[in-house]
Amino acid sequence: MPFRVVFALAMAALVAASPAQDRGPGDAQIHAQWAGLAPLLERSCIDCHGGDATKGHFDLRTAAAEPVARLWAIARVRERVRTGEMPPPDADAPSAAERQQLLAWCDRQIDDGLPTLPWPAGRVTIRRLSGTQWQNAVHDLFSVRTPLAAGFPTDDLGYGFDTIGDALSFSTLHLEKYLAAAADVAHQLLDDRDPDAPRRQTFAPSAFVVPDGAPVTERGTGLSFLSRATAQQRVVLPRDGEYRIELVAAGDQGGDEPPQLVLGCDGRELTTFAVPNRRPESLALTAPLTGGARTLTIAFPNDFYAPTHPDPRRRDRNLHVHSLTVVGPLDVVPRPNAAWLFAADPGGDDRSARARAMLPVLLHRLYRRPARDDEVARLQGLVDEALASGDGWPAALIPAVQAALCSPHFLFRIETPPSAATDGAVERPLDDHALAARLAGFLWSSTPDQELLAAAAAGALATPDGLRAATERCLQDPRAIALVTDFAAQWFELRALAERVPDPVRFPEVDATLLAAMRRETELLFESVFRDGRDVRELLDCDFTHVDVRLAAHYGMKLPEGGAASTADGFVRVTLAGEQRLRGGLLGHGSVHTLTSHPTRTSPVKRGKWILENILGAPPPAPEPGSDSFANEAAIDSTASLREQLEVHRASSRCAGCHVRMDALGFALENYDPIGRLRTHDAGGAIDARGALPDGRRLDGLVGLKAVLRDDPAFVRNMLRKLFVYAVGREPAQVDLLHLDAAADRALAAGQVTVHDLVHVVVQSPPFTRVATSR
Amino acid sequence: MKSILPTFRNRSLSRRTLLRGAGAALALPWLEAMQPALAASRGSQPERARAVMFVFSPNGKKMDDWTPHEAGADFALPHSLEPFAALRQRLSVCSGFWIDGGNAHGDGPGDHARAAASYLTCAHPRKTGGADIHCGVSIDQVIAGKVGGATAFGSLELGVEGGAAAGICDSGYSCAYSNNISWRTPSTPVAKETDPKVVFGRLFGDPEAIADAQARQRQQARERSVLDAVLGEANALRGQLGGRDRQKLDDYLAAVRELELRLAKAGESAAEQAPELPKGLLAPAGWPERLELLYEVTALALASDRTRVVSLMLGKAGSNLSYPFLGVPDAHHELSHHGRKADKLAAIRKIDRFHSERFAAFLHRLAGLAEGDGDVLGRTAVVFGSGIGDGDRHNHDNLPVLLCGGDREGVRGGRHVRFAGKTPMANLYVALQQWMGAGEGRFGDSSGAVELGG
Repeated sequence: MPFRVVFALAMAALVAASPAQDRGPGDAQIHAQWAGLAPLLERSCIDCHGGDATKGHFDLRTAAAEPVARLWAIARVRERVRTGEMPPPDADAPSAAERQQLLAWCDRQIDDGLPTLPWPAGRVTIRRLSGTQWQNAVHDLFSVRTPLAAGFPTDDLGYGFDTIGDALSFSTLHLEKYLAAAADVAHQLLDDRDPDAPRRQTFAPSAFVVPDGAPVTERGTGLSFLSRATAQQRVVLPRDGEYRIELVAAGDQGGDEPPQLVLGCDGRELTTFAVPNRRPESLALTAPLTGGARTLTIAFPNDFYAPTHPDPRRRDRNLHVHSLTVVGPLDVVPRPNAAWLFAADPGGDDRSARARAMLPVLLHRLYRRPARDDEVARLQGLVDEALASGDGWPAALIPAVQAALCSPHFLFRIETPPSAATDGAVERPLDDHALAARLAGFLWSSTPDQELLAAAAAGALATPDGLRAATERCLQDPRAIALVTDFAAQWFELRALAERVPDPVRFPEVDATLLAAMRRETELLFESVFRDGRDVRELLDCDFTHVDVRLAAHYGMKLPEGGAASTADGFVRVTLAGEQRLRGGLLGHGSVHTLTSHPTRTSPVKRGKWILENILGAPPPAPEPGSDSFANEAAIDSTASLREQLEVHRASSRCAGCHVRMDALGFALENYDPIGRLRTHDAGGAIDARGALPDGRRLDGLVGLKAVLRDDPAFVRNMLRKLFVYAVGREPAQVDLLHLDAAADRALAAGQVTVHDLVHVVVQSPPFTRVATSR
Repeated sequence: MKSILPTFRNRSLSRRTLLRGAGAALALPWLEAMQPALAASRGSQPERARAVMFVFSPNGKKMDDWTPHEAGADFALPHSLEPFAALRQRLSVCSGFWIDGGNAHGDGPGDHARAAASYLTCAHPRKTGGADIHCGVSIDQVIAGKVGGATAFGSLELGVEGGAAAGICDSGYSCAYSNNISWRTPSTPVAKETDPKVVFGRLFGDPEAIADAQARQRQQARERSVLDAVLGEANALRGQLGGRDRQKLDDYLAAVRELELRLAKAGESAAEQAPELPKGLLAPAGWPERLELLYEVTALALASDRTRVVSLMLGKAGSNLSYPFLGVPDAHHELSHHGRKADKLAAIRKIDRFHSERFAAFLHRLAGLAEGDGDVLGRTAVVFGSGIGDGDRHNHDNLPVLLCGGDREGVRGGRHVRFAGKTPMANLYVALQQWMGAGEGRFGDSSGAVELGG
């Protein structure tokens, strides 16, 4: 393959064209580790990657001392040579035949060496539930959602995901939020009262708030309004609902009309009572009220005072209020569905005993394993305390549920067996319950259900077949949608879409709805590939997409006449043909185009980088700091025409190594504007979406790009790596990557590759099923 | 009470280890440290409670519009400092500070992540995408560890932006480094709050819901019981864990204990008078409004002595907020790599000016909160700065730094101090630590203490 075609203008400065010199002992190392390739390496590689110079921190001499490092080095050489990035063109560039020889040798080394290479479990730090996992778990357990969860601190990401134990921090703010959210959940679950005995809140008149100097006096058991005045009483209502407000009041009827009592809430009048009788009487009003802290007001508006009135009993009009009671909520709302918990309630009068029967069941589900006696006893203490202070049933369980939801055993996935490493083993199979928790965390972003816990208890997860069956069930379950909304949304960085602010002057049509529709389109693609069992490469290229009215208009696409929405939120699957075919696959999605643009213009650099990072799994190193590189970067990534940009890249040896590939990939998307609309021209004239990859292949627009990416094994390898990191929650080690890449290659060799296939690879891998013991 | 500091394995004492370790060595286990302060607060309270605040401004500044030409008291205010004209006697412009921890030290790119991580820690963060996160304890947390026990909130951590929602934050650095400036331990950043309405609620309680003192006491008693229970769970678990697992649990334990202390204090104090809700708090529109409200809520917190230690991030490291309301639709970080292009420099100048104006308005607000014969600003020292000098160069020396307020308590203003090149920013932090009565020790890579009053 002619390197020179691609690198016509490249960097004589980068590689000094010096012949290989005798390097003493170095030769022996090279020969020992690279065998027959040594002459080729010494000719084409060693100047930059051996001895004094180790560009990219890669040294062919020392990289191969130990089996993992050796295979890793070989894999790295193979990848860089395969893509044509290495060796860079110079007088000693290898011939095409030599390259093939090198690649074949690398393949053989890896094929031979990997099967004998152990795949260790690796070390995972205990993982706090992410915000998403917390919400899903609480919903799956109790059918409850709390708005407070939206206020959890943003989880810090590691390796692009929010499931990394070391990056998931815990601070006081977290605990504050968890306490409040847990209290809300527990109240929703347990605080709805028996409708036959609704809560009564009675307020003594002495507790009313009366403005200073108001003509209101406290007399005996009542509050007397001697002239126009308003008294206030704060009341906290547990929730929205029907409430009955009961008053006991009496009146002195001066003048021709009885005293009026105006009952209000938060400044709004609810009703006006006439209070004609001197004997206290009961007044009541039933009204729908909003939950939360409310201010009830009692006003006396129609004062009358005529000391000369002929009838002494009619000379003075006063109002006397003896009590205020708020009863409710009176309406029954369905109790959230936690049948599994209430089924454990044996009933009876001894509520402490009832709790004793329920708590082990509660903790089993919340802690994802059988509860221990001391844990049950601790929470039993909370229930007993609540019962002693007069709490009803099941409200007395509230503090226990709150505490369990705030316990480290719920908030963290704790996997280290307490008896670790007494036998000297450095790793062992994960205990079945922890494995169930990993499975539910990975596939549902949630917590195990009864069935998964039962499978764990029965030891069914301990065999590869049992684990496979459980995995398959989890994947079929609706909760596996989390692979779309949590995994894929993070992988493709879709979560960041809502933060994008394209220039509102240039792109006034962009709003939160459009950005959300873009995200949804890409999620629906992943969902289709996952649920329909399609080949994962259809993520890159397929003949359909999903649009709603808004997105279709944005794309200038016609929705099929009378086509029924395929989703509840109005998205329709559209089969793509002709020009529209380009929209098939995520690189045709407005989401990706918008994510990878500057607010005012497209950025081929950002787009190329996004493809390298998220599609090919080959993140480019950031430019080294240094004023000249940054000056160049600024010049490159500017509004200069594309051709000029290419020239700047080629002119700089420091940039060319990465940018030639990155820019070629990014330029191929130039037909899409910063918000994903197809275009043939921009301000600079006709769009030129051509480019050439380092291996000489030429790209012209998205069609060519899709073909290149689809055929590249790096995509499936990368997807497997992403799933692995997300699932296992730690940095992948070299040995992980070697085994994962080999597994991806095996899957590719078998033909079709589905999401299920890759999930099974991850779940069956030692890092997922085993745990390191020594600490 | 057991120490909650993580244990350190022996490492070879490279320069980087020293950079990291110094911050950690100084950090007292902060809940232990809180006890005497708590006791003291019950006794004699100084009349004026000194407070300190640290503001992090991302992406550096356009330095030629920031640094005054003249040193000393007689200096002209450059464009970006003009908003401080009426306050110039109450602040010092500090030039010449550097934070060596932000430099690469062989770790390659990632200056933005390092700038945030080192800003208040003066430590060199370990380069990692997630495994073994290690930075240093930040100065605000060191101070809070000493004086935080006197107030309901040991410290307050605020920010305009949450965290990155997706992706890799900066060149192989975990988002933990980019998203946080406050670090409770070298491995634990302190999460920050971004919603001013929620901050207000945390500080003062829901003004409606707390009206019923009885209900509140009952609720606090409940919360104490719940905390006791989870503390029991965590203590039972702690012995079974090691290494980083134990560190995670220690973070959890520290949180439980801090909340317990806060509840204990809430029980002692009389019903707090919640201030009026700031205007617009219930429905802030966009981030500029949220920024303004975060400043306002901070002012209320300081004025009511709910806390004496605050950190505020005006954006995460390498922030890409755009400023269309200034006529700057492009994203901040991208603009900061201006390559000396006039249009980008003009946009950066507008952004810098905007943040100066907002911050100056906050200082005016503190100055307007009268107390006795002074005001809140007079007892509050506020550091405003960036971990990067020029956004295009990513340099960590000659940082843009303002030291404001505290002038009734001996902090001198009204001058431009040009420190000798490469004076550690930590020297300022050491001085503030002393000023706050939080100890005399070294901090980070400090080589002394700057003269706050000299």
